[in-house]
Amino acid sequence: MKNNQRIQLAGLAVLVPIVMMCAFKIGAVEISWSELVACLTDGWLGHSERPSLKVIFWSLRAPRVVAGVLVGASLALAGASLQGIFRNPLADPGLIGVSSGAALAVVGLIVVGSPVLTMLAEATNGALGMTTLGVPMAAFFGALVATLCVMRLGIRGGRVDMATMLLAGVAINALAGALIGLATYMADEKELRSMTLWTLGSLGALGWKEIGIMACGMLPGMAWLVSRASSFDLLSLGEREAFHLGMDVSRFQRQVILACALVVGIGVGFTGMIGFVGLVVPHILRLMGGATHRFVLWGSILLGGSLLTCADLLARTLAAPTELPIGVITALMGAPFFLYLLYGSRVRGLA
Amino acid sequence: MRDSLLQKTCSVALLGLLMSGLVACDKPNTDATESGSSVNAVAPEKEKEQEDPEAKVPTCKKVSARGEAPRYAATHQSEEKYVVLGGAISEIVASLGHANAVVATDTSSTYPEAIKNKPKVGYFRKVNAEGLLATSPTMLLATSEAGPEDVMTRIEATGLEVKTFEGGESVDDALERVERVGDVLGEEACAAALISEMKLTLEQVEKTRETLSKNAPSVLFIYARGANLVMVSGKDTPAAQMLELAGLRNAVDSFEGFKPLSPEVVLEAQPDLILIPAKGAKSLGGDDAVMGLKGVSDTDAARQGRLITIDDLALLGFGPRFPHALKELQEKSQALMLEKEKGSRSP
Repeated sequence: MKNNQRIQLAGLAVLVPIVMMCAFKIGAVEISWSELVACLTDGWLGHSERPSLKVIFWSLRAPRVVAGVLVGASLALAGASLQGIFRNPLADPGLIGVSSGAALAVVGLIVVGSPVLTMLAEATNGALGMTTLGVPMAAFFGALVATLCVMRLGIRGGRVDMATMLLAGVAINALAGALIGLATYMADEKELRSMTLWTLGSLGALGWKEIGIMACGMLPGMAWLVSRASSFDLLSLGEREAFHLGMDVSRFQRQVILACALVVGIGVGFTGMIGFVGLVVPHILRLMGGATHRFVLWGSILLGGSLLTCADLLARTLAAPTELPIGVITALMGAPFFLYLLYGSRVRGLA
Repeated sequence: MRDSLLQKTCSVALLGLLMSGLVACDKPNTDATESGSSVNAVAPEKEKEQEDPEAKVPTCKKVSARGEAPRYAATHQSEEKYVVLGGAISEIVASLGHANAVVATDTSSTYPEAIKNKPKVGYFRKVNAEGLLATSPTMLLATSEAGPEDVMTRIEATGLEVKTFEGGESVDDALERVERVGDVLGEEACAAALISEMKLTLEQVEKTRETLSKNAPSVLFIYARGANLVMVSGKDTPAAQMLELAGLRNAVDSFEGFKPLSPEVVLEAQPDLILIPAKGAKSLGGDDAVMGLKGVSDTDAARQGRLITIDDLALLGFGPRFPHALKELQEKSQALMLEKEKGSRSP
């Protein structure tokens, strides 16, 4: 890593706690700095006469902030990884079928599967409820199945053909879109509402249990992706070149795709669809500090986490006491900034 | 050259993120001071009631005009501050005279004006927990359909008292809901008065239903939210339920639930009347736009302008106004059908 990249990573690493503290502090319910410190250190709330404050902080606000960091980091990292193996700047988790597969599974579950889930909930005394586990599990398996389909279709003669895989992704997305449309047509009003609410995306329904489940799946996947930074760099020379340098390119690509399905699929299941983070964050980093993967991957984790936490902060404060869809905020924040970077670099002849 | 550009873009990125955080800083402070002052305003009332508990006389004073949906004055000043989720519940609270004790509602609470103008904490199926708590309520009155589930349990965990009311869509459900909300508000007498008024109207509706149903006109129910979301009600919807209660025939019963409007289905059904909730008609751009919908425009009902619009929440919410909505529906249908018969006889 070059020196300036180190400095930038250090800057981003400082940004994460700053953003988190802001997000802890600011919200519909006012929390003063001293109360925040008391909440965080689990200390006595001093003269404060608001005993419910700690509950509000720990059960409502803190989980959102932590989830924002985790989900943002995973989305951005998956985006960077996929752009890396497809060697295509437009690749994002949506392209290999993760989002649409997850969406289809969830919609299918809401329309067709709710009796099954009700039975399951009754059998386990509500331990496995619809909202706690049903939707996220469905989303994860949907993401996995769709991704495996895309991958199978993309493998020709034992090796991954990236162009075919991208096109297969487009086709699978179209198919899933059509089936979602069909389910929408069949759904009654109540189901329709649950569906649209899910597709809008939100961090609001996440608690510590969900975050625990997410972390169990995401952190190993993310650690593995980051640990393979040098393989990404090798691959960026070209598939043939990487192969001649002794790398099992197809195997690596398959592993990366599965890791991304895991990392993103779990997140999508719990939060609904949050777009744009996976696409835009790696680009911002490349324009900032260059394309070395060790930098881009680590940077994606840090910047993605801060960006989504920030977006959630805005989503829940701008229209308080209601809340805006977080996907709207990520796009509103990300798109102009991305365009500015793109335009700036083109004027200087870098792009 | 390259380095300076990099530094610039990097610092812009950091600045942008930080600034967006700072912008959001200002807003909640103002909210908090407002709610703080309202705490002080309520406090003296509390003391008064503790001094003289016998002063509470459960007499019920009706304040609505004749022919209007019944509304009552509160028999006591409420000590609670309510957040109410669900249009039917908030309407009952207002009908029993406690709209001023409500600090916030959800977006489905649109009637009356006093309730409509309260701060909104989101749609009742997707409640923003922290925003709700920031309005510093002392009790949450919610329909059982409020959610998401996890958010509701976490709201309860903060120690806020939560009362849920079944969200069923039938006559019995609606009446029971009034009773239960009355119990929670401490307005048992007024709730009972309201229920008997509702029952009275329902009896009138029943009589008209008998005369109507001999030659029941068929009604096409249209649900619309803008020109891109126009649906027709089939079987098993609150709309179909209301038509049945009014003694009218649903023009479309070949499917369950709401389905996108198909011009052919509408033409085949040839409804005598077209019914659309007022907000739906407004979202399409007025009555003329409803009549101009493809398929609808070719029916006799549209050509001769036989359109009925009724307030959304009254017609579909199964709140305290639903007997009145039924009556209004019957009266309007009868008037329009009378016109139709005259029209067909005169030429």
